[in-house]
Amino acid sequence: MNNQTVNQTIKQPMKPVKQPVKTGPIWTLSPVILWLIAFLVIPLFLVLIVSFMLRGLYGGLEYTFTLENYVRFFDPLYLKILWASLVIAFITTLLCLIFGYPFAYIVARSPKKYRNILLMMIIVPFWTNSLVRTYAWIMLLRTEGVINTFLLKIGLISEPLTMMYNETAVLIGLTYTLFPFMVLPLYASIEKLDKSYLEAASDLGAKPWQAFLKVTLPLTTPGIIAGSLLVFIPTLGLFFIPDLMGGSKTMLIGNLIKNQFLTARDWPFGSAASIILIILTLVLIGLYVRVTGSKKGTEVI
Amino acid sequence: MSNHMVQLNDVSKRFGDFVAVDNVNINIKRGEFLTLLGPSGCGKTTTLRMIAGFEQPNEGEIIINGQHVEGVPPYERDVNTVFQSYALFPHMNVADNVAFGLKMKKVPKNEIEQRVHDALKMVQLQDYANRKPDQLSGGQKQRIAIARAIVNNPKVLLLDEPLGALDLKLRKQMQLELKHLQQQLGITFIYVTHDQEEALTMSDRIAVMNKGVIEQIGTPDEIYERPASRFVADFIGETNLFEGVILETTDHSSYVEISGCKIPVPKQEDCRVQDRVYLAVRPERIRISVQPGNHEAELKGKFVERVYVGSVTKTIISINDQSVVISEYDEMVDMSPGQDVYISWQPEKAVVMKG
Amino acid sequence: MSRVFSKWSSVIYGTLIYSFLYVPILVLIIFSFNQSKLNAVWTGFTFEWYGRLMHNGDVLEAAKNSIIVAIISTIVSTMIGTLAAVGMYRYKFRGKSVLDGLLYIPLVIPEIVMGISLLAMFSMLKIPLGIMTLVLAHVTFCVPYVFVVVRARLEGFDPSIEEAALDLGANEWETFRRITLPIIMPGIVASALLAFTLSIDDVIVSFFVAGPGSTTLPLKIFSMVKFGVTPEINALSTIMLILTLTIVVIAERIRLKND
Repeated sequence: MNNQTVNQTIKQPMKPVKQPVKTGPIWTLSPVILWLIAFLVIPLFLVLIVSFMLRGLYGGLEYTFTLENYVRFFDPLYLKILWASLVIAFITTLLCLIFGYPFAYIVARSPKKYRNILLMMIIVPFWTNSLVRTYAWIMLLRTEGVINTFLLKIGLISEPLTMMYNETAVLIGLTYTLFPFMVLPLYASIEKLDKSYLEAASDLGAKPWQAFLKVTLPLTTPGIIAGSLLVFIPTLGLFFIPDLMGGSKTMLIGNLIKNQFLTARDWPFGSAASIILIILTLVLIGLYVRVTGSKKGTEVI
Repeated sequence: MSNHMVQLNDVSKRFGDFVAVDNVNINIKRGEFLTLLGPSGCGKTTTLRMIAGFEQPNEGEIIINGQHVEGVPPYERDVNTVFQSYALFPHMNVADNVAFGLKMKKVPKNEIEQRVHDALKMVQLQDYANRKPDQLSGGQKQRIAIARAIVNNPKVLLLDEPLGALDLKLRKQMQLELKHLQQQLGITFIYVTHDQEEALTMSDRIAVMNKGVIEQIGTPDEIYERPASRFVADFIGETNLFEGVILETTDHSSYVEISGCKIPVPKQEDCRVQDRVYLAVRPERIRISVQPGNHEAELKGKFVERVYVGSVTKTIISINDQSVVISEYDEMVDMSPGQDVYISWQPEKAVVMKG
Repeated sequence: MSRVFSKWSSVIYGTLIYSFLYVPILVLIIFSFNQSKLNAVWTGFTFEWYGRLMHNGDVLEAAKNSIIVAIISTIVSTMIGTLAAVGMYRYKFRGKSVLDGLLYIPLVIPEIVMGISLLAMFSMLKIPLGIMTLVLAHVTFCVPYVFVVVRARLEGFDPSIEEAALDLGANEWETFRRITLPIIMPGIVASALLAFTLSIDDVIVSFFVAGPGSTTLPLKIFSMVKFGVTPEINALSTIMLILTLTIVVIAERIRLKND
């Protein structure tokens, strides 16, 4: 009987089926969309607008359109600050990378039974209060601090070392605070590496360090880039470390913005500086996306 | 028509530009075991999901038990599904899993208990009520998934490659169990698989699908012995396809020219002389010998090799650069590569299809 | 398979780095029990500084504020973030990748930018700075974290489980309530704990949106540090460290247990 599909000769074309309305996306996603628009997008937009205004007489706002704030930023004084911030961010990132990569590698290759604990010991500093951790270093580096007192006592030095209120202190503080941010993405990247690649390399005659250079390193580049980004960008905005450890000599872009908003009350200028900072951030992220060709690996968590 | 449990009329489904199901028509009878068979990507799973309600067709009608179900969500259809990954709820034990559908229908508690017990008994797992899914083996999870579906007495049970993850022996055992279960319950089963042996074993009828289209619907015997297209002939079992040209048609049979020989074939009503056709002959229908016989349908070729496959040996020969496979069982004559051999078959066991 | 680093050099290097990470903190904790006010030489063991904290009205007030803000922010951000994760996981729609990007923005922009932009908006709308502005700000940076954690949890979730529930007669809401939610609950709890930690520990954003009467603990520490180093700060810091440590350990246990 039914050996073939039945084909009626002439037929009305079937009406397309109505697809049921999907309400799901609306009630799950509208809270987050509305929230982010209200408290992220609009504020940022406001900053953008304010950056084109002028500071009023008493610290308020004068509603005129001007590019003066941006022009002012290109004064050597402020450019120097921007440059210093970039340099410090770069050095911090480099330090974190140089010390962090071997460390991440060792943890990733550690025996399984220890790995969870070792990992936990990296994650805990990641989540603890960065101010508290900064304070710990202040305690150590101060003129009357632990290190100096100790060294004086055992007679290694006759005068206390000046370890605070300079760029070195700031670098130590930043590196210390941001170190886990570099290590965790690196760890994730190294751990995910399929060991059979290394076995194949070994099988084909590569010595361990050669396999490392030619296989492991290139394949963990996404982790390197992610980690670098997670260190570099926050460094630009972490104002309290230079504030507490850098003394009056060290002013970075984060401090500049904070001052403009709270002390100098020149909100338009502060906004312009912020916009420049945002643009910088976006450029870096854009480069990251371009280089890796995919989304961020913030699944560090 | 009251005899049909499920009807698909001109059903099509597209995903973007990709046409997954193309104008499919099928009527599934009450109480029948129908299998949708085809390779990956042929549209069989999409078709099943449209019957279940997880996808909506772009065009066409789907009628279940006399009612149109386009736009009706899965939880309002009298249809239940057994999923390929079993999809047992990990946070509930076996009994709660099986009872879930009944709870949703607000069946009274004591009735639920009884029906769950009966369903578990039917799949021989009545002592497993308090276990958690992660404590079960693959085969057991399979049975629980089935119990969870049938306890609701659905009008139609949909099974999406349920035996795919099981090892061969267990799979064969489950095939028979499922078949018996279906006969016992009398529920209409719609089964999806890419395994043609499975389809042939279990089904009342098979719908062979390819690229979104149904190539043939028929009983296993019809599909196997009288494939309607090259695809079906090739997909079901093994077959040899000989290219040829219609020579003439008499009262009793037709004749096709293959490799310079005149081969009789079953009478073709709608073929004209000079039409290009394919002749499909199954390996087990072919006899091979080192001497020419006086057979009506006979071809000459050269021996290539023999492959031992356990219960059968595949003898491969070459005719004009085409590989031909013959199944031999015992009493094989020694042959050496390159030697002339002769193959023959009974003309009525071959099938002609259009080129 | 031979290793790049020998076992011993690995252990030594690892220990060095862990020391780098932990020694400062340990020194800080130890000195919170130090008798000497000068905080540089160990003179004796005492709980005096902890005692002083308990009577420091400002500190207690800041602690109260921090906890209130953290609890409210956690609840709100967990709800919003979880819903968002479920929505993004389940549905495909136009503009999905745009929304995805939007959700990652708070994670990558420098916190100071978030802080000043919210300050700008609040002052323009003449909203007084206080607990409410803190909560609004904290929720904004917590939501993406909750989203990422819950989303990760959902990635391993077999979609046919939800389909099975629908197939068996549960509508979308019942499916969510009885099936999806219980299964992803560990992820939700873990993300809530992390959100709590983020809120309690936040410095930069809070710096800009806290009002004079609504200092948080980190901000209190900040002002205390500016005026000088005393063991009281050590004590306060130690308490915060222990609090964070406990929460993080619990959250990680939950997360790892159910993977």
